[in-house]
Amino acid sequence: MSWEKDLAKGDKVEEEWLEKLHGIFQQAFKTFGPDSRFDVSVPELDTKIEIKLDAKSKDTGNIVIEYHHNKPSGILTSEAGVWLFTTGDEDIWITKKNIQKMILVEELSPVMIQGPDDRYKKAVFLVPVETVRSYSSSAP
Amino acid sequence: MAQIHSFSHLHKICESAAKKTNYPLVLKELKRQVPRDWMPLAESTVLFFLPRAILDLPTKQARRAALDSIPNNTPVTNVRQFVEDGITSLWEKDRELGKGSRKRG
Repeated sequence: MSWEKDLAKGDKVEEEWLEKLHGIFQQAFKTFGPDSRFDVSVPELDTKIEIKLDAKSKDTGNIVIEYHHNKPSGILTSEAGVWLFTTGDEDIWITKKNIQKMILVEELSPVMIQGPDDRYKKAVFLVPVETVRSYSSSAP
Repeated sequence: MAQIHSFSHLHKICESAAKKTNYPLVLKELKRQVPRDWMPLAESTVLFFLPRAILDLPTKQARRAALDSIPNNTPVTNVRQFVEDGITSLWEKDRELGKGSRKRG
């Protein structure tokens, strides 16, 4: 799948979640642009959310958590305190602090991966879905 | 300066450099061992080793000094908070596992 298609799918998921959140939080808004430090903000809760569509996790069994893509990225730069991983089958909510805790406590080792449309390799943690689930929390 | 054979090689260097615990010394050690092209990745990767290295220091004063050595103008913002959160997580886990007997001042 091309980067554009991935981006479009990710955007669609973010739009869907924004719509759901708007049902309760009218001030919720979505950010735009590749360098956004979060995807959705809910001012009423003072909460910023990072939404990650990871449909490939259904095949690989792993959620990808990025931290360096030619420059610090992902978990190292996101301002979102809450992350949502959506696999297509399930939605996993987890705090940024718990992602960091999971990486450290489980002593996960990073790997370099390169998607077909990635110009640079990226450094990521590949975390089994059940491990992410075990550090998850309920939706904000 | 070593050639980096693989990412796991860089990973090992970062783990070892983190044991310096004083942030400027950690960077100095990385610069000594890591070719310039790999430095940005090394600076990001070492952040995942610093919490354990600092937590394993023998005294509270040494841990505080290590945290205080992290400047505010790092390429990654809030490095200090990131490392501090990591230390707290590991400390809580160690306590859960009964590793609290490890001598810590």
